[in-house]
Amino acid sequence: MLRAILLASALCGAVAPAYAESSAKDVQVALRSLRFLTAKPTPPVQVAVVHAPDNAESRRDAAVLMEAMSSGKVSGTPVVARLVDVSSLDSLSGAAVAFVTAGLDAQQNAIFGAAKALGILSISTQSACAEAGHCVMAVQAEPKVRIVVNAMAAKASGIDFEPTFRMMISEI
Amino acid sequence: MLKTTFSSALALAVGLAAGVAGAPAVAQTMDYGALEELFGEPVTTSATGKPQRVTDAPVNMVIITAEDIRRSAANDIPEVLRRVGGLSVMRNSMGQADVSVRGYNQPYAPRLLVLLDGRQVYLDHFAMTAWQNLPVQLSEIRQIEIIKGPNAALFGFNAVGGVINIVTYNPLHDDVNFAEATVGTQDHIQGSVAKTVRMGENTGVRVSAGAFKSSEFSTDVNPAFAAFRRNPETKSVRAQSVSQLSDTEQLSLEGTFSRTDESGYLPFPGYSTSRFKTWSVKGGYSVDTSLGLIDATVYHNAFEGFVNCRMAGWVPLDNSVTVLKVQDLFKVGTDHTARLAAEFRDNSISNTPSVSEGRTGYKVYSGSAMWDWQATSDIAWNNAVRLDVMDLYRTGPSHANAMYTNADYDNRRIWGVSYNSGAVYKPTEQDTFRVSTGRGLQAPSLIELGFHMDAPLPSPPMPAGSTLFTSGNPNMKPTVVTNYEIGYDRGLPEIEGKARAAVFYQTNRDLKSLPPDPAGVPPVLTREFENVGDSNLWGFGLGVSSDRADGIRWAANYVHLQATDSLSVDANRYPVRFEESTPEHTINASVGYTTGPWEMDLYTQLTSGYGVLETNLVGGMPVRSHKDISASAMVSGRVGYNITDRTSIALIGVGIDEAEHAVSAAPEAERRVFLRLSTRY
Repeated sequence: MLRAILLASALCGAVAPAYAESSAKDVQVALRSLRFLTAKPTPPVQVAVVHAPDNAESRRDAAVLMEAMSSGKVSGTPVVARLVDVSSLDSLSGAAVAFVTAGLDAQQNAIFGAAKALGILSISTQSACAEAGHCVMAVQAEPKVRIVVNAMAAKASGIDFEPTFRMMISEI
Repeated sequence: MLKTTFSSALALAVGLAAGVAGAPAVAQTMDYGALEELFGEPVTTSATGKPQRVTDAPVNMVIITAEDIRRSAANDIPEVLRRVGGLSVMRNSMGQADVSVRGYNQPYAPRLLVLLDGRQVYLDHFAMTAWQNLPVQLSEIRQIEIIKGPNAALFGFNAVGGVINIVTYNPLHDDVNFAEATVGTQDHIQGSVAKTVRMGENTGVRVSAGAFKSSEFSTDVNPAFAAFRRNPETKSVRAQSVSQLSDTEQLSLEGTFSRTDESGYLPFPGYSTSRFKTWSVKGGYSVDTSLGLIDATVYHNAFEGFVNCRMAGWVPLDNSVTVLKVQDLFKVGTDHTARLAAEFRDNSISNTPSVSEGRTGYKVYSGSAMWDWQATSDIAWNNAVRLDVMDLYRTGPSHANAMYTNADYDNRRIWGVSYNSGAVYKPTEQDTFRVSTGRGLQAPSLIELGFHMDAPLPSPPMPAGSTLFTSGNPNMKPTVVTNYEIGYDRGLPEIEGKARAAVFYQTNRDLKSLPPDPAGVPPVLTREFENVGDSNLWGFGLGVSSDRADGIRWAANYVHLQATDSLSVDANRYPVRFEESTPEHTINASVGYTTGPWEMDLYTQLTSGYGVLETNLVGGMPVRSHKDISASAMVSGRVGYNITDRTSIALIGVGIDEAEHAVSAAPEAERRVFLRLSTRY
């Protein structure tokens, strides 16, 4: 009965939230996307998870992201993940990817500035970050894979994706 | 949200004027596996020429995956295709099956363009596909891409009823090695093998080969045609390599050979025996430049064969086609993708058997353009147009009974414009609306244009020495197919599935058909290929499927087709009726279950009645008439057991519900059971 109601609801056009909290599947999508960079990072991929320890939302998101990479391998790609405090962005040095956790809207610009200066690919699971030009890429795994790349932010960061990939994602 | 038309047009214009923004990048051929893993769905370039997720394609498209093929309870590609709503599969023999999209099926079905990794395997001499002769093994196929309706703006002539592109694994990206052995009822023996080799870090090579032989259907046949029953036999080999020459360049090479002996049903029509031998070579070079992804392909297909039919005995046939095409695919700004392409094609048959010298053929010069506009985050619009100019030629002496001179061919030009336009609207993550239209041209086949042949007529009833002269006609017009379609797709995460609906209307102008029954006065009777009028079709399709994580999968689809002919020919001389060849109702249903190492799949197809043309002998003369094919069901199934992660055994039954299935004018199709052992290494 419940299944029937859910199905009827879906058929009537019920819409899922655009972006939920980060998930392990989001991390998989993000790291699989690295295969389509023109300059691919040398494995193991150094991933910085930028968070604010005093921000509960950021802390929760960071925990999810770190857990997703805790095995040292995501979708066959070796990764080394570490936490970076948003108050010490100098620590981003050496990373190939900077995950911008949720709840850091006020600090996104500063994070992007630091990542851009180091040529680091900044990624968020919040589309607003890419739309605002504060991240190069936003990813979403569910309900359907969606990848948004801010072309200006990518160019400013010296990040370039293969043309086939660019034709299949949303560029803004 | 909606960006202004002006700003988008300006961006496109600036981009085109300034070349294309963006630095050169790496890798040219699509890594289907990596992209499918990333997006969680199959990807394709067959819809528009642009890389796309299948759910983004602005056409009615179905992709059959390697897993679908493996579990399909099929032993060849036509049986795999039978599960797709809107596809009609008419099995004329163990070797020959004819496939059409949305009705109008007939022996040697001409309306479906079939490609193998983008190389045409559709045979232009008769405008047909010899499915058993395709040099590809089922287990090396990554996916089969099916486009319903015309897609001629991308593929050119003959992509009118639909397009099927068989995409195999890429030896640069995919390490595919397998060996399979199949035995079955009716003396069936089959084997296939493939080996992928890496040569250094930048080159992958795969060689595959396969062969089968079996007993032909032993069901009843008109005694006058019994001599044409032939046990089918096929051998094929294919070698393919892809090399990464540099960060921005790739080179691909392919060579194939295949040979087939089989019984079948000719479009003239009649039960017959055929021998086909084909070989091909293909080279491709792609490079990523500041002007975009530039891809150049050249290939040559050669066909040699014989058809043994009641009237003419063994008739030699050949076909040689060389294709050169170049395209540039580029993105302009963030919202526009464009493709510019040019193509040259030289396609000919020898003038035998009428005379021993010379060739009849045509050269085709084509130009095409595609523009894809991501208008908003949820609306995309794709437009493509193509111009094909076909110049006929004929060399060598003419037959004594010929109705046309070489000059009639040399002065004949056929040209036409094809287009495709489709808009995709995705209001939610689960809903996709699609509105599209397409116009395609089906060129007359080389046989229809240039075949000149005498066949002796029986005496009596004809005077001694009488002949039937069959003539091609250089003045034939291409059939023009225009399709209008609205589609809706709905993701159903609640059942781990999806639903699809589509309604369409199709016009077919200047259809071509079999030559009429003979005219004239003995000792020379004649018949000539002609355009026969129009036919319109409307229909709709509904489908729903589910593939659950708990191992249960099921699917069902229904397609309704309603064709109406408006023919311009004398029905007494021309018994063809396209509307009768199109079944009104087709239902496909399947259910599958996986538990541990076991896999079970069951497929059913229900088809309403339809009509076919058959040839019988009356007073020694071949006379065509209609044969009604009754509504029928066909059930197939597969039970598989995975012995290890790499080795499996499967019992496959095709048409297991009845011993015999009447599906065409040819002898009834028999139930077949196969046992297959597969291993990947």
